[in-house]
Amino acid sequence: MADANGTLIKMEGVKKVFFTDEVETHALEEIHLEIKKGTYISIAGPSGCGKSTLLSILGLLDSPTEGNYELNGQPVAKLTISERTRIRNREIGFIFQAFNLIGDLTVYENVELPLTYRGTSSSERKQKVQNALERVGMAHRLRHYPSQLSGGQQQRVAVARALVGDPLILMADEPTGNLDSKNGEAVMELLRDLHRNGATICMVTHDQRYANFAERTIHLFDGRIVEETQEARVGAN
Amino acid sequence: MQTILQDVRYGARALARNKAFTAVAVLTLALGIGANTAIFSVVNAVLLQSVPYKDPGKLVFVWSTMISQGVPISGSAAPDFREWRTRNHVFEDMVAYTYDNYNVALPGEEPLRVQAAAVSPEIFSLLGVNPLLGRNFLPEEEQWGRHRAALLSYSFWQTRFGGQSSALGRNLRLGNEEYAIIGVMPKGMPFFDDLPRVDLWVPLSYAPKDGMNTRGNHYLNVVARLKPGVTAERAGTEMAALAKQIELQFPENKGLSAKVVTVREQLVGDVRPALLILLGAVAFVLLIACANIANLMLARATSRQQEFAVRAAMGAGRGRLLAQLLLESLPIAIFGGAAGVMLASWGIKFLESLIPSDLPRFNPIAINTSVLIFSAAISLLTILFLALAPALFASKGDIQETLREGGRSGLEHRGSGKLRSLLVVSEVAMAVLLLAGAGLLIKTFGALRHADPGFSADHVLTMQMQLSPETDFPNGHENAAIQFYRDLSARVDALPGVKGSGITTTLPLGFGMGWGKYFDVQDHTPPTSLDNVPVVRFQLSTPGFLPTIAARLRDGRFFSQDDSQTAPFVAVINESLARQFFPNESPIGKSIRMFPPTALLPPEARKPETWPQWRTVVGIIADMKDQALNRPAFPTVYAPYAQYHNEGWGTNVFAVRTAGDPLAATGMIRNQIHSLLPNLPVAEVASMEQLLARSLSRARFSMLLLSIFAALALVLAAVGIYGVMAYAVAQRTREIGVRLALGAQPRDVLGMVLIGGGKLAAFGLALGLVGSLGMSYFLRSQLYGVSSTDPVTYASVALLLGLVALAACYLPARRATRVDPLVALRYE
Repeated sequence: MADANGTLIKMEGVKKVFFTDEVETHALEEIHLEIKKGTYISIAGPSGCGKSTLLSILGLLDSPTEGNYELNGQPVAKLTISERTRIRNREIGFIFQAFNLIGDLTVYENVELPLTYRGTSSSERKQKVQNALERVGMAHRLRHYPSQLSGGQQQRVAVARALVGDPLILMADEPTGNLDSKNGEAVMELLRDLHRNGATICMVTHDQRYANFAERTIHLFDGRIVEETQEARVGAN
Repeated sequence: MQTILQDVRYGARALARNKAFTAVAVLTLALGIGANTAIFSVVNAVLLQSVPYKDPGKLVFVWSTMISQGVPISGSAAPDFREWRTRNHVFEDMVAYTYDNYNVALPGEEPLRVQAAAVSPEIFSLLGVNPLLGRNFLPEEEQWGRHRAALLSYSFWQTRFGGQSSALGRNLRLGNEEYAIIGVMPKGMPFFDDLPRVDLWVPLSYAPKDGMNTRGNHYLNVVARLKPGVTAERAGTEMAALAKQIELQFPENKGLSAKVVTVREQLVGDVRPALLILLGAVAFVLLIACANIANLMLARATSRQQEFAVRAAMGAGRGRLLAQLLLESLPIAIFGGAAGVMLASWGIKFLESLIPSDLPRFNPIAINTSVLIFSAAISLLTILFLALAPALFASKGDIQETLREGGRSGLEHRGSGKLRSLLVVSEVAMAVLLLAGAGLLIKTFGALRHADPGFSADHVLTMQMQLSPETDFPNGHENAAIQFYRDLSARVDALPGVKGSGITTTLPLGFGMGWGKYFDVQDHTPPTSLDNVPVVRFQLSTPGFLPTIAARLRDGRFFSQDDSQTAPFVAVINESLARQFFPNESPIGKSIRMFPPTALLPPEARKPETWPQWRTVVGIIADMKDQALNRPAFPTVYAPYAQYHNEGWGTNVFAVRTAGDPLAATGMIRNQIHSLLPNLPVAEVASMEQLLARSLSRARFSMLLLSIFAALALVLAAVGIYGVMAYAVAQRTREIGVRLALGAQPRDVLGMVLIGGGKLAAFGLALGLVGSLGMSYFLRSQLYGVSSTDPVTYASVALLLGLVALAACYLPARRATRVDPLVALRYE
């Protein structure tokens, strides 16, 4: 649950340094960020500015070199791998640029995957998968394999998989990057609908058009937040 | 041509770049080819290559049979042989031979015992072999008195005469007769199966009134050459008809027939199943090796999809791509084949040390032209098969999609993944077949080792001696041999560390000549005709022999010194004989005779003065395995030497039980022999345990080789499972990353990979077990003391394979748990 102020994510002085041979690459510097519940935030910036690094730390796929990060009021620095995995499974939903659906699993099985790892009962899984697929308009493709779907449809299924476990926040990494503009627009509309229905979304994009779908945009450049814009979106909340 | 060279060059360069792939493929192929080449060289020498005689397909053995008396095959009597030779219409010629030993005295050398064969003079012309030096036997040398001519084997000539041609014309003292050396046979010429290896040949000739030249002594090996157009079957029919005619003419031949067996069948018939099983086993090893290399090649072809797509886009047709892959694989075939032949040449040296002493050795086991052709052919066929599957998959890919993906998608052709799994399932199944076979043979060997031979082999020394009446006892030899044995035993028994000693005509486990005789029980209803009179095994022993080898007395007593020539004649029988002839009564005290019931004798044989005496059964001993550990004992009668007229000549065996190492007592015992007869050669010195081990050599050979092949198969199968799982993990890195990102715990991933590998192993195991049950039929003839469906063996195989499969999957599975979930975010 978010804290009393509704803050879901809080970052203070987060820094990420990659050490390769004798070269230090400062991917993130002094990141201070707060995301409240129900926010639709986009992280924008040119290629190599640190957007995906920031998202991977936000999504507990990576750890900061320095600084504090609290997710839902809980400092994540000292969490074990197992605890981080558990939080990723229960509190975060991921949407990837490359969809990352598993080719050998059907649409239903792909969406079901996070619930399987959570140990949810079969009947509950069935209901939740059905609901998630209905929310993205893919309930009619349950038995299809990813290879039998268009790119847009695959990303819809990926969105359903991110939603199915009722996460606190959806993390989307360039969700339109592999789609043509028509399908890209459709996916962005889907995310906007989800946000309108209360979802917290954190999206990385390098495309300003799509960044504008969010109510709040932070701009990264060389690993630092250089600008933040906020717009009141019609229909939010 | 230029294109071909270019492809080969490109292939060689690519292989040089992928050193790990090349090394694994070449090594795996070398193991498969090496094992096959080594076993094929044995099979080639024993089963495929003919006996090196002229037109060997026309050569047959002709045996006597006494089916109604329970003797399916027997040597033949000299008079019968002569009848056959003159009256048949199916053979170009017919010859006979028998093995014999001689004590030979060469000037300046210790007397030695040599292995000889007495042969019909025409034998070598029938076989189409001419002497290297000197001349062949002349037909007239068959006549007694003109028979003192000897042909030497090449090795005997080399070792005893230094290979000098001056040996020709010299005399050789064999026993108490001087033989002229008339020739030397060619180097490497085998005498049939070379068991035993013959040092010299003399003409088969009989002195007047020689007891061996009668219808009652069936001991000659008869060989004949079929006339053109005559088959062995037709010859068999004619010989049986001829035997019938002879039977009518000579009533003592009642029940005697003839059987024709091709020389090949005779020499290799009983080793064929074991060798074919081993050949089958190595074929499985090669197939498993092939499956592994095919997996490697499929993986490589998958990673080269983009390259093939580009080549196809540039206009390369499917055939062209196939040719390229085949040519690229050629260096693997060449290097793998060459390394395999090298491994085989080492393997053959190892095999030589294992090969049972009773394996027919008429051709040397070596890597010769036909073995090399075999190896080259399987190398090329293997690589053709190996290159073809990935080539077909590689050339099937969707060019446009592959090019668009830039070859980085890591997606493999759906069919190639299935094929890889199928290959692993097959190799696991084949490994199970070999493991089950090896398991059953290991159990067989264990059962044989623990089989009760009916005597105690430990601390017993054996040696052979051959006494000659004229040479060793020139001053009179009536019962001299028996007296000599009595004196020898008394002296040896008095030696420190000797517990007892004795002489016998035949040792257990097939060492020595079997001696069959008619058997009659007094007061039992006699059979109705001569051909129904049973034949039992007969052997002589001194009083000390049976206690020396710790024969187990079931009832009555052993022989004693009181069982002399003048005492009532006695016999000890074995339990088989007791069961067969005295099922409802005690045999002790019963009278038996090694002679047919006299009422059945033809009138001319009814001369009571020539009939042997009745013997009283005084003891029953447990059966001693007289042929092999896995065969039941023959019904046997033992009699004292002293009660068998003037016996003990020819080859006899001296057995001594010692307190310590029996072989260490050899010198001491030899001294005692030479203190009585200074020039008597002592031969075939061996402990009874060595003889026991020799009798196990065939079982050990099959068991060891099949175990080695099964272990090889298991390792290759484990490598195969590892390879497929490691490849699958590498291919699924992104998927595993996604799963980890979505909340899969490392144990979930570990389980996923282990279950994936476990499924393949389980399928393979199930298939293999079903196959093993089917294949065990072929193994049945090689088993002893274990059922071909022994559940413990199959359960052990399943457990072993399960553990190995688990270990093979564990490494890739652990690697999978270490996949960084961040890969899910990486697009490139």
